Amino acid sequence: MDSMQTTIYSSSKNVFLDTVNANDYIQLDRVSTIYQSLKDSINKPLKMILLYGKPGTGKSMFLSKLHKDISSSQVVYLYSTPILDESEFYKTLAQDIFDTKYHGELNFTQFMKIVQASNLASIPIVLLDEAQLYSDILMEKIRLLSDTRTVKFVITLHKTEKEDLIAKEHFQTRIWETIELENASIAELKIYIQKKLMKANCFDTASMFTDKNIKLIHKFSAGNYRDTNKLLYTLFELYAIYEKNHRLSSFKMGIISNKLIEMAALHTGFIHD
Amino acid sequence: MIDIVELEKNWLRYKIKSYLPHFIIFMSLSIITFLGLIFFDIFSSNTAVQKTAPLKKETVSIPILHTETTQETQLKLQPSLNFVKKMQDERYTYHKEVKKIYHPQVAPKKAPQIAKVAQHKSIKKTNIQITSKNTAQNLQSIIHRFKESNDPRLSLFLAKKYYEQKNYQQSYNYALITNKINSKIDESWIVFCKSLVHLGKKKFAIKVLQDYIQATQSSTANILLSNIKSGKFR
Repeated sequence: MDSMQTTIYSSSKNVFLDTVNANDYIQLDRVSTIYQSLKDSINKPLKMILLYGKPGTGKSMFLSKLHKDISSSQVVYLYSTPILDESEFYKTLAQDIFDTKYHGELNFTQFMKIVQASNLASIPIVLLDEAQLYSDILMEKIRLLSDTRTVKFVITLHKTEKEDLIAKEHFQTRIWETIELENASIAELKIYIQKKLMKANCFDTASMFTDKNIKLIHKFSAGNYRDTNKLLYTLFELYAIYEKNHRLSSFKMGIISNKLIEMAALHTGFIHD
Repeated sequence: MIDIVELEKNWLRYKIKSYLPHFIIFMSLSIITFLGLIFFDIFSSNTAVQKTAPLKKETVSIPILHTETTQETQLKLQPSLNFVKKMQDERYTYHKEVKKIYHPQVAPKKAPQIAKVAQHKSIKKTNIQITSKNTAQNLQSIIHRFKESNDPRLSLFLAKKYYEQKNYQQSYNYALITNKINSKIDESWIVFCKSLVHLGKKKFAIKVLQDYIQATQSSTANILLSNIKSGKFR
């Protein structure tokens, strides 16, 4: 019994590991609508799509999911980690998209020659995550490249005041569509947590969350998916430890303990003593 | 690995901190309520004292309305207040009883004159018929002097004189007035209680004497009490 319980809590803990895996994508009504909108935009004659939102709102997951979904039907390249060196960026694109391996430094002029010389059957889609890390100069080059309509870009940006400015200055006239991602509401967060657990066959722990639990979690994470994952990972780690120490009986069985949620929030730094 | 013990301590501190504002608000409200109740209690007590104080005055002053003197002073001994209050309630009763008592003792034609004892102007007439003219004049003179001086010795003299004349209503009144001016005069209590017995208020007289003896240990009052109880004093 104990070992089974420990397995349940450990399994539940692993569900909330903060990784970007398209298979972990959770369909929520609002998120699904946005995702569908993004997919539709891909098929339009766009130059660039800007996907923006606060950190942890699921932008990377969106790109990952999009890559997985359309890779079978379209030419799509996902760059989750920014390539900050300009030459390296051109060389990577030249090799991946245009199948041109270049030795030595590759500047924008040289790269554009490769682009113009190419004869692709369809317009490739380049998914650039964490675009706020690219330099302004490189972003301007990306803009010019998108103007040639030889490559479509879907880029993600963290939404901050500074990045809003970048979006306005660099992309305002060129972005065909902007999509904003937001934090989850309490109701959405409940579905997210339960769906995530049930997807991993953790039905017991999925049914342990009460509305009060969800409200408390939402209070600490503000509906941010990344923060929620961190909080719940710690929560189930605590459960696993208490189970291991045979001290789980001090909590009411069948529901998640608010005390443990608060302890998890303390440990992860969402609150302070 | 999470340090559970440390984390639990942190959690406890967090909970205490989170409840602290609520606790402070609760305690503040409790203290305010408590102080409010104390203040209300004190205020109510003061109001009650203010309300009861005039009652004492009224209780004492009522018998004076039936006498010739009108000056009010504080009665000092507490026992007298109780019976005065009782007397106030029943004064109309014993006025009637006075008639009953005196009918067999006094000649029929004199009875109506004695019944007017409580009226100021009737004193003169009564005295003329019962006592000598000189005694009546003397009493009037003493009453006049007493009004001017408010001397308890004069009022005590009047009480004793009226008692001798078997005018127990007036002896009662003057004994009471004397007691009001100076409640430590033993004789005023004795005359007062004797008058009460003659006015048919034997039980009251016993009660007053008991209270007075308890307060002063007066031997005279003790002897009188024994006599009244045994029936020797009639």
